Amino acid sequence: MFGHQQKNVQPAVDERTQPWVEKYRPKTIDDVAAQEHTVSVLRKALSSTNLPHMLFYGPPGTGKTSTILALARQLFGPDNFKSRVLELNASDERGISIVREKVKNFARQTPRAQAVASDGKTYPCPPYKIIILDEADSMTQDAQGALRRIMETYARITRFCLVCNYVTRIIEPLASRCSKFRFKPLDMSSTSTRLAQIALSEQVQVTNEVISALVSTSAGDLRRSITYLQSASRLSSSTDPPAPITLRDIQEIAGVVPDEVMNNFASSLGADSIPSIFSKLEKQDFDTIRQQVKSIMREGYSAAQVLSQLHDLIVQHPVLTARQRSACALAFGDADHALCDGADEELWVLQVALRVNKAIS
Amino acid sequence: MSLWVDKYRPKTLDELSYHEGLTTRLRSLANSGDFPHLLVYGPSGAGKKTRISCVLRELFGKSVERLKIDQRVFLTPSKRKLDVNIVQSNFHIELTPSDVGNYDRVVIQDLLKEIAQTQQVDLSAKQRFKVVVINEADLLSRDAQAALRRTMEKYMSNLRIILCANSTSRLIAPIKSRCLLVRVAAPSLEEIQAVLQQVAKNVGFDLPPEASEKIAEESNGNLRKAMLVLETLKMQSKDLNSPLLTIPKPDWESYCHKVADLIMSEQTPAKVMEVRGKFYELLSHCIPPTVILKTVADRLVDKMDESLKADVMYWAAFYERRMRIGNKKIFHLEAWVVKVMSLYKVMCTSIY
Amino acid sequence: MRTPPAPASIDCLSGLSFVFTGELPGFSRDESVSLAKRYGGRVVGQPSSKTSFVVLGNNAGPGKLKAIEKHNLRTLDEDGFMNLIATRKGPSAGGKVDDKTRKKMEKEEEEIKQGAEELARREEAASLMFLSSGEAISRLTQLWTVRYAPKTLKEICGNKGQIEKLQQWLVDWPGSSKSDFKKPGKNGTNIYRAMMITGPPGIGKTTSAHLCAQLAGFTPIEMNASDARSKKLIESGANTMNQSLDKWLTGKGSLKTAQSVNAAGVEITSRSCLIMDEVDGMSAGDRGGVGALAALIKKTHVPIICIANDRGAQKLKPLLNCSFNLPFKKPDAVMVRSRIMTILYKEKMKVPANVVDQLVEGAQADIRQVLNMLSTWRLSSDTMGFDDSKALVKMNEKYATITPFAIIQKLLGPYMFSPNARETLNDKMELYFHDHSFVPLFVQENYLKTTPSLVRKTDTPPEKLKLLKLMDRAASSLSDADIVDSLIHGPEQHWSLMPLHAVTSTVIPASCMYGNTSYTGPNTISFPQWLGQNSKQNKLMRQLGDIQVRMRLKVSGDKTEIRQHYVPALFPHIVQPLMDDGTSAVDEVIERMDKYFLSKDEWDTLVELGVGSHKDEGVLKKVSTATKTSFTKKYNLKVHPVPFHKAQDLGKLPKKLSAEPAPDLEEAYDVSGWSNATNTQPNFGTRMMTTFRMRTMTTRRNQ
Repeated sequence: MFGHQQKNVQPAVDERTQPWVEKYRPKTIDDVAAQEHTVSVLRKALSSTNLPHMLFYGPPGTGKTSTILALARQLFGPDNFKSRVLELNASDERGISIVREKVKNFARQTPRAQAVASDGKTYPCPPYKIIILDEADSMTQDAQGALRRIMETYARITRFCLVCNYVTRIIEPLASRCSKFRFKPLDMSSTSTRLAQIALSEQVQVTNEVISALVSTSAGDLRRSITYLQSASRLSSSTDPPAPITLRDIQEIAGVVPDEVMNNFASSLGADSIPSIFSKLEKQDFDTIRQQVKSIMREGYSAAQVLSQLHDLIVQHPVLTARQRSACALAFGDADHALCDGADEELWVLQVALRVNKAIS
Repeated sequence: MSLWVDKYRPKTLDELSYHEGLTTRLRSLANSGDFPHLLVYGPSGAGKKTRISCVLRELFGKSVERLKIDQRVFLTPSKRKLDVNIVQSNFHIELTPSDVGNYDRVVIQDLLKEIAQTQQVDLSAKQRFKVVVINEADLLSRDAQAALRRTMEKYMSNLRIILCANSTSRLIAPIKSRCLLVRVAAPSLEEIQAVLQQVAKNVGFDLPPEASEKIAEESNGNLRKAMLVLETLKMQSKDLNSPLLTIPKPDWESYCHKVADLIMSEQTPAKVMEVRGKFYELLSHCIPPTVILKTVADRLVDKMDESLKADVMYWAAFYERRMRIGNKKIFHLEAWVVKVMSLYKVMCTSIY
Repeated sequence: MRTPPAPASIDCLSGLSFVFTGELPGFSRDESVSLAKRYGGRVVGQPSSKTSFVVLGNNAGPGKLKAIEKHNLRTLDEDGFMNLIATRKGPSAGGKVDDKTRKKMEKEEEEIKQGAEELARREEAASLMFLSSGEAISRLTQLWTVRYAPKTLKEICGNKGQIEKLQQWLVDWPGSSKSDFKKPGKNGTNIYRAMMITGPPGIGKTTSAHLCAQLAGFTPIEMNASDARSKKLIESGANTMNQSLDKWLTGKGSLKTAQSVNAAGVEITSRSCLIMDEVDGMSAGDRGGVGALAALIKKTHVPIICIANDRGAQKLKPLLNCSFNLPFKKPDAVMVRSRIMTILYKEKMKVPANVVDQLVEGAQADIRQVLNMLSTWRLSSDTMGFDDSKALVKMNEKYATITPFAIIQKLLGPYMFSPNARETLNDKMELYFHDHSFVPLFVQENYLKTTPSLVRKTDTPPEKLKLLKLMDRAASSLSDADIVDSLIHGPEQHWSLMPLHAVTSTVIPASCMYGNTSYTGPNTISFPQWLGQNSKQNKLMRQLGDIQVRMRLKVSGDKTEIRQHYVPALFPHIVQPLMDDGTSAVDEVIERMDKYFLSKDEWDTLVELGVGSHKDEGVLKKVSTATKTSFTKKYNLKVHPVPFHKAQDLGKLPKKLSAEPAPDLEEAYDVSGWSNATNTQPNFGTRMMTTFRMRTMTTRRNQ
């Protein structure tokens, strides 16, 4: 099914090193996995070739960028794509000056006449251009503000597609000019189907266990799971003969802390993953907890990862009361914020551990 | 003669002594011909850079060890000149972006572009690509990380990047997903002891197990620290077998302990000001505020009543974070000290 | 504030003097003082036998209580004071006033009348003269300050003794000139060739100098800030004078040839007197002017009078040595009042004495300013009430005259936050905005140095706890403030947060810790250390960077690891041997330094980085001078490996000798410049320091 589209891949990139994420990006909107509602709306828009301004939002790796790229490709075809689509993402400069110059200049150009498609197919090629602003939530307020009038003034010849993770970070005037599409996290089955597909075409041996580990570590982020799969296959193929991919490999690549370490940690805080009859054991003293935290940090795990895994353990804990769990959740929230500010990891993991311990006992 | 830590640093993957699994993996990656971008992370003193240089050696052979420091001048967008020191060999360069402060994006972009566009000229080179090692990658600004992300894709054909960081928390997801994550955990107590014994054997003296154990415990998983302490110890005390052997503490650490003792001794404005003076002394002598805070806090919880320990650490974390956001570290250090004093006093008075 | 009762008459308190002590329940100190003044009372600071009443509040000062006992004074509480206002009849309402006061008042009035008549007479004469000389300028169109400028020495308010000295010196000039300035004369002034008058503005320094010169028969030649007075100009100006000054005043020339003209175009004769006004204003553009002037003074043969505001100013040092110093003080308020009253009488304005007092006090005895204020007021009204004057003073309040030191005294002092203080939050924040970069630093430096009013005694456990609670609140608010500050000065620049910064950085800490501040001892209000410490840190950080760069080929650690682990570990190898073994260890040390590409500069830094037992002072003391010299010598003799590709000297640090102690702060500023990216901070610090210095200087001048 990828037969003819393979040609679109830029020849300059080494086939072998090309990220699978790019290689297996959906080529039509029908390939987009598990966003049935959005796809059906867009399919209608495609047949009528009339697009509104769009705002795609949802967690990472759910196919937002892939969808708009596929849509644009289907609208314009490979030959017009360059002249009709402007894609800007966070790694490009997107300050207010760029919005005022580059975006505005592109927006005001009248689209050139349709070039004859070289691959012999016909494309709808409607008389407007598309500007894709990827990761629009990282644009400054000023830059977003500058977009407001541009979106209206050139609406006749230009459509905007804003792509973001957090719709709340898009200023209200912009959001109200767009029709919003929410992308939901991918469910287990569609992710694993997709992964199995890729593994098959890349001739990588994977067990079901590895696939499910990939799915669970990436939490609905398809891009992440594909990247992990690629890294794992690279690791396994580097040895001679290729070693099979193991569960541990996936966890290591994903930077995930092994379950037994986490369970150990949790039980030292008084929150055993398997509640025993003696769950109300003696209160853990400060030094034990400090020692535990120290040894985990020595292993080099990232604090954010440790905390998020601990969070999952606590929140899904079978016997803790709601009040206890919410007290813990507050601690996790604080710590996450602090880590974003670049605070010291060991101190904050310790702080969370102490607070959790206090809340539980 | 160099210090032992540098003299006996492993030069090749074969010489590495612990984390065998990791070593095998690195070796196979280096020989596979499909070397990815790497992100090497782990606590300091665990051996990240040693491993990186061993990998480089594995990739390019012995000549990669011929290093020189190149002084380069970069022009910022505002036309200011930046001097940057770059360690490089014929096959790789190494840079520390935090040297250039806020302009790391400019430097990274210019430098990587330049390297990517110059083909490997040395025909005898074992690899087609050059390697860029970026130290302290977790201190890269967001802008620089975003810029790096593009570059990593664009110049994949003749450029590999090895990022070296203490933690992955501060790296943006796109960077992490483009690299192969390599975790270098700190060596365990036994591993440290083994290394110490090995060094002692190479130097030619007898290291009693008790001493090496003490050093290992004191080092908190930092092998570099352990080695340096071992050498200092050897110089200062003739008899390593003495049961009274004390591990020498660095000057700043004992100074921090003095501060902790001051806090415990009396809780008055005058003492706070005395502590402030000591903090200034430490800060101005380039001890990072976080290190000061953690060392003092560690000492305090060692001496304080069990009931206070959690609170002391809670506030330590609280103010440590504020130090990161704020400008004047001393303000937050002092606020923490006053907080601790007041907690301590409350406890003392409630007892009597 | 409690409403004061309607007074029995407008001057019901006249002839009485009051002392206030302690806090009145219903009024703040300012309010009660102003009440007393409004109704004609006098307010003095310390009780004496002449004090009529002492108004006692809570927590009265013990010293004052003793004085009350000693002089057996009558005391009033707040109600009594109110009563007094409500019942006592002043002279205008036919109330009794004792004879002495009445006589005094009558005498005052008489004097005022006489003075006014004198002024009128003189004006008439002057206008006649103008008419005859055909000049059209009427005196009526002149500024009051010119019109009523003193014409005789008697009219100058205050500083009588100093003026007499000046007068005497000028009169004696020819004699002392002849004796080559050997005889001191009775005031000891005659050995000087110049006089230096210093004092705050508007107290008649220039006027006195001119008058004295004229009365002693000299022609004053004035050079002031409007004339350029650079070294060159002074020298050349003096050169034109030289023909006169040098030649015939040194006695070599003859009187007849000495006719010359100075820069100002005034003829110079033996009876000239040079008045250098505003010498402390000889600033930036007038480089070297002060030195040239000092040189001129040493050989002059005409009297020179220098005038300046601030005798403490650093740049006036050279002048102080070669001139006699005449400090002028602010004139007594009474003297100023009588002078002003005279003028007002002449101008037919009705302004009561207590109102004038208020004006004089508000203007800090600056007669010039009072006259200016009054002349403006005259345009709209002939009378002025107490409240008008208060408003006027407030309007003319001298802004920007508060140094951070004064601000911090106010903030942390006992009154600003006391329960019946009338300052609003805005007033308190205003203090922050006087100097928003310095005030927070001052607060942080000094907030622990007070004796907080909120905690009375500090020896009981609960009070100690309370003190710690207050400190905690203050300190955490300062921490908040720093967060706010980094938002203001961060990339987003939220300037609108300034008021919040004012509250968190200044108002809250001060509101917790206000109380008595001391002027001596360890708890003196002091200049913030932060600036100095910060630039020191930046300097050492940069030097540490140099070390790291050099060691980089050998060592994998970053800067902080070098500091934390290598610096202590290298110490026993490259510093300790020099301390213990002296000269014999030098070779070994140098060898080890070469291994790590460390140069002598880096050795200095390594030592400087030590704290505690490795503190540089202690360490350097233990290295004998002989060792140091031999170390330096041997190091310079050899060629050392350099890790750099380009053989270029990296750190452009000034060469230091090892014997030198740690560089002080000034040096920290000088070494900026090699790494442009990181040195913005120290420069900032420097800039702040200099602006601060300049600011305090200007402020002093303004006072």
